[in-house]
Amino acid sequence: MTRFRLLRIIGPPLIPLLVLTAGSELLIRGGIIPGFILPAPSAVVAAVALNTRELLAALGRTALAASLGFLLSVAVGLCAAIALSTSRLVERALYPYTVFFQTVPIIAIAPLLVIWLNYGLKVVVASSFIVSVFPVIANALAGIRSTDPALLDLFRLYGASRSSTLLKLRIPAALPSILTGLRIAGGLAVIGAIVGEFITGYGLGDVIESAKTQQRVDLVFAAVLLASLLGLALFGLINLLSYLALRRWHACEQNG
Amino acid sequence: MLPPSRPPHPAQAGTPLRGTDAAAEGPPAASSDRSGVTVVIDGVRRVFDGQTVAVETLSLRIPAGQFLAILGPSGCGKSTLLRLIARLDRPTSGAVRVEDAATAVAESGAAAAGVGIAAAIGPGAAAAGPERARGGAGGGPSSSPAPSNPIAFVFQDAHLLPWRTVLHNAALPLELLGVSRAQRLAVAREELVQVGLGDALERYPAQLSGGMRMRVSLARALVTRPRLLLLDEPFAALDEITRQRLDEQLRGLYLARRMTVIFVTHSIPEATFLADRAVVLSRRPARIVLDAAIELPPQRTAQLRTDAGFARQMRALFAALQDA
Repeated sequence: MTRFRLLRIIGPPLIPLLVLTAGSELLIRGGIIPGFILPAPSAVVAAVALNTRELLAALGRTALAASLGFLLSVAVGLCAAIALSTSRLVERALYPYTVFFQTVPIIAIAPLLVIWLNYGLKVVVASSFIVSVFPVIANALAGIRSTDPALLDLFRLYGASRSSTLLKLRIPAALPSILTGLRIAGGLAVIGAIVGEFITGYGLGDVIESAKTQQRVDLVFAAVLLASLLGLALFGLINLLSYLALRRWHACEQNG
Repeated sequence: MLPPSRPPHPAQAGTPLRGTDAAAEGPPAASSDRSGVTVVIDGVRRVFDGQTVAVETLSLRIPAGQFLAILGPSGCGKSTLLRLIARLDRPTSGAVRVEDAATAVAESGAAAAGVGIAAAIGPGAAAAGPERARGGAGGGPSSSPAPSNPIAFVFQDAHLLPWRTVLHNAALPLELLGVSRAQRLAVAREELVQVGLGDALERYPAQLSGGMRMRVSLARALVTRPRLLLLDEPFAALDEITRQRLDEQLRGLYLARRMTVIFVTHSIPEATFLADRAVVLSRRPARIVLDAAIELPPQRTAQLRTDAGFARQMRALFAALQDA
C-alpha cells in the first residue's frame, strides 16, 4: 500500500526522464546526432565512473563554497531585512542598493573579485553570495512588513517592546516568506559558485572549463549533472527545514 | 461590588437610562479590585489624513461594570472609536479617560471629578500608554499577584499566533507583561477551561474550528483579568449557532466578573441579547443617534431569544438603526 503510494509520487517525474534518456541514447547510437555534440547518457555515466575521484573532489569543493556563500547570504540577508524593516526611512535610503545585488552581471564583475580577493575559495564564496543574497532580503523584508496589523495592535496593547515584537511576532510570522527566499537562494548559490569557479579555477567550474577546452563533452555533462544535483540537494535540505519548521501551523506544509 | 456611595452618572443623553447599571442588580463580583472601570469619552473627534472625519465630536460615559453595545452601519467609525478607547489610536481632539471608581473613592478627598488611575489620552498626553495605566491598576491595596492590564481587546477574527499552541496563545499577554512562565501558563489554563477549551490546550490554531479559535481569543483577552473588555464584532464571521453559544458564554463571563464591556456589532439581536445599554451610531462620521437602555433581566439564557420582551427591545433598536 505504502509502496504503491511512493510509486505514485516518484513515478510520474521518472517517466519523462526515462523517455528522454532512452531516446537520446538511441538517437546518438543510431548516428543521428554525433557524439561530440551531445554525449550519449551511457557515455556521461562512463565519464563519471572513469573520473570519479576527480569529480567528487571538485564536487566537494563546490559544495563547500556554495554552502558558505548560501549561509553568508542567509546571515547577511536576514540582518539586512531586519535593519531595513526598522523604519521606512532606512528602507527608502538603502533598499534600492540591495537591488544592485539582483541586477549586477556577475559574469562581468567576477574578474574584479579576483583582483580584490585573489584566486580561490574566497572568490567563489563571494560570487555565490552576490547572486543569492537578494532573494533572501526581498522575501524576508516582505514577510516582516506584512505582519497582521491586529496582532501588532495586540502587542502594543500589552506594551511589548520593539525587540520582543520582532522576536515573538514579526520574525515568526515572516518565516514562510523567509523560507521561500532561502529556497530561491539555494539554487542561485550553486549557480553563483560555478560562475566564480570559471574565473578562478576551482571545483566543478574548473572541471567544466578544462573539459571544454579538451572537447570532452561527456565530462562537461558529468560535471554539469553533479552541479545540478548539488543545487537539488540544497533545495531538498531547505524544503526539509521548512517542513520541520512549519508543519504544525502553516497551510503550505499541511496540504502538501 | 461597586461602592454604594458612587454618585449618579450625569450626562447620559437619551432615553430611559436609569436602572441600567447592572452592577447594582446582578450577583456580587468576585473581588472589588477587579470590578470594571468607568470610561469617559469627552468630545472625541478623529480625522484621518486631515480630511476623512471618522468620529465627529462624540461624548459618552460608560459607567463601571456596564455592558454597552455599540451598533451602527458598517464603516461608520465604530472600530475607530474602540481603538481610541483602547489607546491604540489618538483622538484628533478631545480625550478618552479610563477611570477607576474604586480607587477614586479610596482616594476621595483628592480632586473631585474623574481622578483615579485616569490614563487620559489626547493630543497632549503622549506618555500615557498602557504602561502607566497598568501601574495604577496594580497599585491598589489588594492587588493580585499577577500584574494586570486593565484593558483587553478582542478583534473581528481570532488573530492567534499560528505557531503557538492554544495554551501559549492564551498566555501571550501575560508573557508580554513579564509574568513568570509557570504563573502565566497556570492562569491561561484556567481561562481556557473557563471557555470550554480545557482539552485543546496543546492543539494549534490550524486544528481548531472558527468558534474554538474565537474562544481562545476570548481566553487570551481574559488572562490579564481586564477591567475593561473591548470587542470589535468578534463573532461576526461565525455561524449563527456558534455565535449564539459564544454570546451566552460571554454574558456569563461578564456576570461573573463585572468588568466593563464595550461590544461593537451590527447585529441587533446580538446587541439586545448581550447588552444592558445600546448606543446606535450614524453613518460616518459617527454621531450618536440613539442611546437606550435594554431592559431585560441580567441573567440571559437561550430561551430569552424567543421572549416577547426580547422582541420588543429589538424592534426599538431596529427602528433607530433605520434612521441612522
